[in-house]
Amino acid sequence: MKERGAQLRAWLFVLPALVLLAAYLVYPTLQTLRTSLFGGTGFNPTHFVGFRNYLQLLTHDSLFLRVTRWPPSGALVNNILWLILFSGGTLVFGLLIAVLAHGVRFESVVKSAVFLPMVISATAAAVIARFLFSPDASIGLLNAILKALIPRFAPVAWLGTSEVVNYALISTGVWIWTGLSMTVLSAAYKSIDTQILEAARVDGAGPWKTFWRISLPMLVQPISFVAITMIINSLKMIDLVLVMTAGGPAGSSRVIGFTFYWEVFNNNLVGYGSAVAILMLIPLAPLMVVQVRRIRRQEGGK
Amino acid sequence: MRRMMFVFLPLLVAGFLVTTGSGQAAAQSKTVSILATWGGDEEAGFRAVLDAFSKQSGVKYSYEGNRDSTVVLKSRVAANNAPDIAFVPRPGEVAAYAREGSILPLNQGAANDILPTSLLNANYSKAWIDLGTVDGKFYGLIAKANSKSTFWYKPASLRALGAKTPDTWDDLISLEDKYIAAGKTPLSIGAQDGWTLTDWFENIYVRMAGPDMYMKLHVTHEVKWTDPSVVAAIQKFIEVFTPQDKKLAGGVSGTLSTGFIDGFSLILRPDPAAELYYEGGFMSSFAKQNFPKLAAGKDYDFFEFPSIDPQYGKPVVGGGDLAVEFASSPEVTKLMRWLAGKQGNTIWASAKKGAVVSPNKQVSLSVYPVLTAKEAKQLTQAAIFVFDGSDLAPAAVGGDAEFVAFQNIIKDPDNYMDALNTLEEVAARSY
Repeated sequence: MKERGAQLRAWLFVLPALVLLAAYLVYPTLQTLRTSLFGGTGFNPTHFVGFRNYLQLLTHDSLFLRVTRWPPSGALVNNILWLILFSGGTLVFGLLIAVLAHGVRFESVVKSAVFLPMVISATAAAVIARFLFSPDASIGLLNAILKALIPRFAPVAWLGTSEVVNYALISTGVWIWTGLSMTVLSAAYKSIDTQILEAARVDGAGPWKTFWRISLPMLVQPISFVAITMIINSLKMIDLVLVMTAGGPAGSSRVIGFTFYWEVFNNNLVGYGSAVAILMLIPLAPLMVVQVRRIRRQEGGK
Repeated sequence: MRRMMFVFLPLLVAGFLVTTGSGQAAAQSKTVSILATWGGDEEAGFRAVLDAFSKQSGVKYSYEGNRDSTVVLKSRVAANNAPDIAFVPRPGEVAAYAREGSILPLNQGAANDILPTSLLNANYSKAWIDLGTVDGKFYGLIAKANSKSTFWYKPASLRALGAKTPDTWDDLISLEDKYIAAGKTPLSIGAQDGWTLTDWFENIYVRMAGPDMYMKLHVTHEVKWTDPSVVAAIQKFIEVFTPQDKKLAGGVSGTLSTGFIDGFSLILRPDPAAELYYEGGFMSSFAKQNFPKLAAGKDYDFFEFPSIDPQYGKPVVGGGDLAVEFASSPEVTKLMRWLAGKQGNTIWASAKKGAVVSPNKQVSLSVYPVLTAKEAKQLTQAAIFVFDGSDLAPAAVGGDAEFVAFQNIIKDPDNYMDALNTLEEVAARSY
């Protein structure tokens, strides 16, 4: 009797959360899945097309995936580029700054400077980056610097060249998100017990060896947290692409998140766009599960 | 806690009374909600029209200007939270809303029409009425129009060259060559915004293939993007920008990363990167904002987009916004009639800021400022007027696939057929 009461109370406690989850997560997801099987334009899709949207996306949409020409291109390929370079970049730079700035006199100044782009909105940062990359050397800082260093340098339109544009966008992303990576890793680095590091030093380990053999293994948890956060960020990237290039030139900087937005709101193809969203969910879902599990484990350990 | 309740309860009751009270007051004269894309000067011009309406009728309005109004409107309609009146820049979307039953017919030949047939016929030519008609009923009231057949140049630069404004396409090409011979870059294109390229193509296409083919290509897709007429127009277009290194400010990649405003600024700034720029009549407002010291009509001016085939002369490609109505009430009807009437349109056309070119034929040409009068004259005297083709096509074609195709043609003109084939593939499944 008493147990049933406790059980009931437990359910009562989780009920609000369950209702909210059902209304704002489960229902929209199922609705998106259903919509992705419909064709036509507008938010009230009219005719059932089965998996045709998916088929078209993966085989007949050269801006989403093009494998008929080497190297393969399209939003999917660009997103893989984002995943590797953006996640890798933020992680490496974050770790580098966290470790190198540690204990330096201007540590707080350096860290504030690196964290600054995190504070402003991504759209504002994207506008700033657009100026930075401008082909006009009187506006574009990057071209101005290169011109000052190399006298015969011809200004490059970083955002207008298909071969370069993705790297320009990714480097902007790294510039913005390194702040977060640095903060998390720096906090973890500082929490390493100094006694352990001293013990290593006493045993004759140099700074290099101490870092690789002692510090880094102790940072595995926060590093994988940052890595997964950044991978999720790269998979749902949209704001930088939308503001800086609108997917151009000629669609060469599209990513999955952008394609979803563009198909639904620009092209009015809600079913087709939903199919993109579902494809986006496939790699995201397991990552989310891993992330939530880890948080639960950490909290359980406390 | 209980004492707090005693304090709050009367407050709540009072608050409830106040809100319901004001609710009743509002019901007597409903506030008309309006959604459009206009901000800044454009908004100021429109508000002048609305303020005059409020003053005369006593009906209040609330205006929301949103750069992304198309997106906002779409989600608000889906959520059953549409404004009373919205301005839609694409006739294709008016048709879509009409067919899904979201908007009301403004005229269907009935006695109690929101906009009576007599009013429409007295104020608008057939071309504009046809534009707002879907399946025999009139849904979209053209509120303002603009010409996209205006080619911008600098009179002083032309004089220095000893040249005249080009009348034909060949004149234009030889003008470019003269600029190159003088050591200057002739042309700037804001190709990052793909629609500047569709505007280029549409002006060329309607001049070569005529308005019928133009409509068949964009509206019904009876003409394919691989049609010889399209290929011929694309080859003409390629003439104007190749070789890209010599003719385009910033070359290929510079052009592809230049937006439509920057493209114009490139020819107007003190150390110009180019001498000619093509885009619509609305560019003059950007020139005014970015270069307040330059005089309109003197430091910069436009000539009509040159003719190509004498058979068609100089058709005007134009754009416009159509007012559609989502909810019916006497107040909304009053405002709709105001927007279709002579008085409202004259106020709009003569606004100090954000004046528009009104398609309403009752508005006198004398109300317009210099360049706008020129544009209005072009619009009213045009023998052929076609609406911006990419706005008439499904969004996936006219708002996306065309952009990509034309950007690819700027980049790689030799392989224009690849670009057209891909475009046709999208078009084939979009109509």
